[in-house]
Amino acid sequence: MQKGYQLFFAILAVMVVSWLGLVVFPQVQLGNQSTREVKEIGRHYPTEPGSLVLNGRKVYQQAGCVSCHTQQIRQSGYAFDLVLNEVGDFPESISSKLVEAGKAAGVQVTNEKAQEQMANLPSTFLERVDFAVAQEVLQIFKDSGAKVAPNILPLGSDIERGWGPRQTVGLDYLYDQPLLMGQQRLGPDLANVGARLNDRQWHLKHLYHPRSVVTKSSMPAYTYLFDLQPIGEQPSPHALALEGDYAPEEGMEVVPKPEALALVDYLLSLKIENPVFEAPYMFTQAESGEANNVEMEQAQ
Amino acid sequence: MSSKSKKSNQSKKSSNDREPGVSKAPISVIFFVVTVLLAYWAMMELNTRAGGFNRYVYGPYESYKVVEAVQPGSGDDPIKRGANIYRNICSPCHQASGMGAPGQFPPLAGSDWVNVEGPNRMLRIVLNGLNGPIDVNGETWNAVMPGFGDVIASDEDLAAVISYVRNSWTNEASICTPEEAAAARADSGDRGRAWTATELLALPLEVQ
Repeated sequence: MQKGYQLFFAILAVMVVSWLGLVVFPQVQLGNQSTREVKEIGRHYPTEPGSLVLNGRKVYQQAGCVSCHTQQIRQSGYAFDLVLNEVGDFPESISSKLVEAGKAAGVQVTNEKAQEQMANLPSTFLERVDFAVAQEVLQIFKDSGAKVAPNILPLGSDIERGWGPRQTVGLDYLYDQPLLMGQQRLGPDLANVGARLNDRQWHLKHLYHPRSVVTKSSMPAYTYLFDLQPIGEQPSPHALALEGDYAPEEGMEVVPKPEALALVDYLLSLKIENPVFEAPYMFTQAESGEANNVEMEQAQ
Repeated sequence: MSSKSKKSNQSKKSSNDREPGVSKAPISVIFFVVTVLLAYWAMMELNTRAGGFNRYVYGPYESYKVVEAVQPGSGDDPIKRGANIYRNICSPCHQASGMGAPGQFPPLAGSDWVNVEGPNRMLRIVLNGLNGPIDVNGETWNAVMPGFGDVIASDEDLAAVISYVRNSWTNEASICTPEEAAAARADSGDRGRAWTATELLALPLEVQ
């Protein structure tokens, strides 16, 4: 073979370059991450899943959920809402500054409107402005005594659908082994399903027969995760409250198997409900209170 | 005879043809230029859009600086806020390192006036200034510091700069709250003259 060694080194070089680019560099970039304290929630994130959740995760893999559902929220941009929290000691100068800020953002702000905004605190006086404008406005209010907070809003079609408050980042998948990020979306994204559909009964009914809760669903029915059994002396406490066409015949009940309960545990554990450094969003105390209530409900 | 030799020549030629060789031919200049331009374009794309390959940078954020700047509530961090005020007001004398200047301005880093339980005495010095000899870490300094009560008019800024000094370099002390700053300011009232070290030592450490 002529020039055999050249061919050998050329192939070797191609392999090495791809290995560096696809394996080594990503490992250097994202590898060895660990849980991190998130100050908004005052604890470390993410937390290691419990054994129930891990069992459910196995069911999720076996049932092939990953082939139709992703767990990845995308974000295509970000904007800022500018909120006036306090007027401070020099209210006379603030109204003119509000007008000036409006000009910077290309919004017509009259003096009366500025007065109105100053009267109803906290007031969002500019909505969805970009980074440069937000910085300019903060510069306008610098040293004015007024307190202006830029609230960051993640933007993107996934976030507008309400699938999650921010994009998912590498840290969110720290305990996701093997990675169940998914690659096609025949169904909705599940990265935040535990927070947006926090109802155990709903999930069980949905698994037993998706059309019983979502009319236009194209998801197959996972009836094999449930037992259809005659009602004993007393109805089972876990029996599904099915209605209409989906109800079992008289004297029978639908009871979830342990796999179904574990799968729902896993689904309810999928939550994106705190900001992280790489994907900030405005986290309000009200939301965290709600999250706590939900956790309490689950504990009960 | 001649036809035979022709035949053998032909068979030799065809056996050579079975494995084509590499002949030297010049590479087209256009091909070379296009390759270099493509490589340059790819590198520029990576330079501007890869976020410096930083693990904390995900699109649509352009760089680590942007991610840092868009963090909600980072403006409320008293230490960050205090760092700016310190840079503008305090660092000309006490230096950015907090080490002061030998014989002129006493150090703040590791100072036994800073690393105490409460910020009361520091607040008074910043509000009304200091006059006369003062012992810092066993060394006596004799200098004048003007009061900055009017310059740092907001109680939050005052608390921020005190918090910054108390938690920078090697210092480890409590955060000063705006309420403490306001109380110290109200207590000093219209004092209008600088403190002396003896007067300060008579004051409690905590803001009352």
